[in-house]
Amino acid sequence: MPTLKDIVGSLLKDITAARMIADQQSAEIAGKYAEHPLLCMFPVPNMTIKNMEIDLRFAVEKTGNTGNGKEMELDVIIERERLEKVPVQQISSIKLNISMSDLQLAALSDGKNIISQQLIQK
Amino acid sequence: MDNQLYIPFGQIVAGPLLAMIEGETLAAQATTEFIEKAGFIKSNSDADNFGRLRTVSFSYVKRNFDGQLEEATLTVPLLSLIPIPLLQIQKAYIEFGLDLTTQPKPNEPPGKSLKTVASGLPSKTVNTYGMVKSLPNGSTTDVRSQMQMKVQIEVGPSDIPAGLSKIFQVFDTVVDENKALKKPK
Repeated sequence: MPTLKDIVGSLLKDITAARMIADQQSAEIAGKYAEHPLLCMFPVPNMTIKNMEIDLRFAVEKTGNTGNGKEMELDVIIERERLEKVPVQQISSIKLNISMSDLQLAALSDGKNIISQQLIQK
Repeated sequence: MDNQLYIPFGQIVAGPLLAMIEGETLAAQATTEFIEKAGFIKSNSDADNFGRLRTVSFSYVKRNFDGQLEEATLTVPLLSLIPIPLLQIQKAYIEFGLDLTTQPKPNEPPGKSLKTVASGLPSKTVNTYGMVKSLPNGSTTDVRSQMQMKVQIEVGPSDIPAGLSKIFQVFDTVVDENKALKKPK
């Protein structure tokens, strides 16, 4: 039985993977654009998730802890067929408001230096 | 449960992103074709370049410094007179319902596998698969009984990363150097 944190973690990892797919596609297109005399002056098509809202229904099947008594585990039901058999008052929902952060601030200054150094070496 | 209809949640999210990237790519290709056809005159010997710039000439009468009337001609590139169609998606909103499951899926759908793409990400103990459900029109009161997950995504162009921006600057330098090397005969 999956726990709520497993489900949320899986959704977030899949969203990250989706962005990776889109970024890889943009990178492939960027390579093709660079070789084209006119397209090299065009902006490379790229799309990212600015905001995402997920509203998930679930029912807690059982609660427990991880063993050390500190972390509470919630084994949950998420399949619709199974949720339909659960009394309405036992159905909960979680709303996730997700936004993509651009984690490039730390690499910004050093990243430029690294690129410059590599260019000089070649 | 028909597992064939369930696909990895990441692919459901990636699908609209890829569609928009592909759409913009097609739009850009159409624009380059427009520029080539409207802006240049290509002959058989111009296989590797755009050919000759298509220009428009205007003749008019103007008064010169001596106060005499004289005919003058102005030649301008045609491309500078017409709007060039370049379409970009600034913002998109996607909304759909999902039935979610953690059951393993029997067959991987065609296309890029999430497992392959996300190989650099930490492995997960639970995989989520979704089946897209259409949202009912108008009322939202009955939505929750028909699906157990609702997803709303706002999509837009991403900022160019600092590293990529640096590479583009290098491209500019290369273009300038090529121009300098090809001196007119």
